[in-house]
Amino acid sequence: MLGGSIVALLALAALCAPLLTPYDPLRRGGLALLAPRAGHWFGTDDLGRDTFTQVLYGMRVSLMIGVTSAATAVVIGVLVGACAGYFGGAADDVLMRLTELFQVIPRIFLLILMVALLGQRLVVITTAIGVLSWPGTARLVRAEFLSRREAEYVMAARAIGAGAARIIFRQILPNSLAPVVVNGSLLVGGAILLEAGLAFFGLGDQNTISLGQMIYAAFPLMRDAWWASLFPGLFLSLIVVAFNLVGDGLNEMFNPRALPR
Amino acid sequence: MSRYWGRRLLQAIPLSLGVVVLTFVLIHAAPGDPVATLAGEQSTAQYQAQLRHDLGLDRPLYVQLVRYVAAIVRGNLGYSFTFGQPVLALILARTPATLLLMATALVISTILGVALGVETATHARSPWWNLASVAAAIAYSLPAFWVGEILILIFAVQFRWLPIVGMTSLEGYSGLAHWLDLGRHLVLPTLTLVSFNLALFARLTRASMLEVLAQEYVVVARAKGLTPRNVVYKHALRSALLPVITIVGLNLGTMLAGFVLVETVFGWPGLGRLTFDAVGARDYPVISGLFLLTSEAVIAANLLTDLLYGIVDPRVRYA
Repeated sequence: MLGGSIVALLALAALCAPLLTPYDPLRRGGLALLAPRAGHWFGTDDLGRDTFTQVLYGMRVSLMIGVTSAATAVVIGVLVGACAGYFGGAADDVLMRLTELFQVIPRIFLLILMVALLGQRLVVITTAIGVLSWPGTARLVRAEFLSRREAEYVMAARAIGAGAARIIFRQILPNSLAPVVVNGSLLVGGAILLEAGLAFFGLGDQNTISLGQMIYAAFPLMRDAWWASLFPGLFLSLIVVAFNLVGDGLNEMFNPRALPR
Repeated sequence: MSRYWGRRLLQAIPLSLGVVVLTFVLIHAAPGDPVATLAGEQSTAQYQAQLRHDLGLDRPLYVQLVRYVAAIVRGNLGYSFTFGQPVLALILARTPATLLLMATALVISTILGVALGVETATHARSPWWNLASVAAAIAYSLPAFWVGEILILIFAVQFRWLPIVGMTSLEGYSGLAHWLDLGRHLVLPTLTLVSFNLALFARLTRASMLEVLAQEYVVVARAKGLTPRNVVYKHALRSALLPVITIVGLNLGTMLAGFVLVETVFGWPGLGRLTFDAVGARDYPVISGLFLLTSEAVIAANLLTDLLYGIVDPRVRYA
């Protein structure tokens, strides 16, 4: 799959960042606002930092944020969806109302409020994005559980005395993971874009470089230094496209009905 | 039918209240004491206590919540210190600009997106349409504000064909010239928004169409001898559009995020720009007012789409 290979390549590049470039991303002092050239493949920004290096390190941060938030969202979503789908009744109703609430709220505004009020640290941002992205997963898991609840193997497990938790985690959940994985991959892309959006508002973590923050910093420089906004945005898009392609590929693998006949 | 409507309306009420409570909680979760900030560093404890009592901040939290809800219902969303206006008036003043941009972008994206989705689904084996699908997947992944910046760079800065920022030029045209000028300014922001939303609609329609086309009644329609165009557009599309409507309703929040960012990039004087400025100034009354209003608007929109769904697909009403 094309997406998978792109992700692998980019992750590799991000991890090997120190080996690929002699520059320290935070070190100023180089010549400022250089166009792309031999020593600086992507040019430099207004403080003389090498853009290529920044992009490499920024990719690390963006990838980490994306994956961590998506993981948080998946964990919460699975828990909520499993309980709602398995127990049904009042629990289902309450959990579904909660899910609707979080699904309907425009995430960007809530994110802005949360980060502005609770602090602009990386932990806050990652947790906030994760906490706001779980409804989709919850709905998927709930649908899976609702349809598998009455299966024979579940009845058999109950007959031998398995408790609810055991049935949920060891019987039904492993069979329901396919759409969750697909959704998870799409969530990573979404999370990365959300973080970039936050950074664009100036609400990113000021102590780290992320691709979104680079775009934010490059905004006032647009006329003089087109390379400062082009490259981070390009790589940001590349990461998101890669994850979306992976998600699409996985979806086609798991769901043959989605394939064209 | 009215039972379905009544039920949906009833469900929407706790949702709206939930949003209000959430806003209240967030405002009060902020670190720092507003009374201390207002009173200043030199104030005495007595003055602060007095101020606290006057502002009603010494009452228990649930009393404050009730007062907050009452204030909102009366239209009092607070006062903005940065802009010097009541929050509600400020938001309402900026809404028309946003609505203009939104309506234009949505109409174009919907029509073109659905058409693209249908075509890529029905011609799924043709390489050209497959390319279009991939292009849609890419367009869907690009950050909207970056696309906007690139478009500005290319069309406005490099080629100087279109204006860079704002909604109208400084010359202050009137009459027809005013509308033409407005149109010129609309082009780039709309293009940016359309690229993302079109891709979204195209992907959703395509996925839904593919599932519908596999159904038996489509085979029957073809067997009856209906033209392919008839089968697709009159029979399959209707069923295919239903899940699209629902998902779009649920995705309104995400689309709003796109609008906010694009408005900022293009300096469009609407709600998005307001958000950006308010965040920069940490003007919490405006930010929470915006959050509240947009959430309620999305809830209302979802209610509408659900009701629409109920009209179009009778099976839903009796579920």
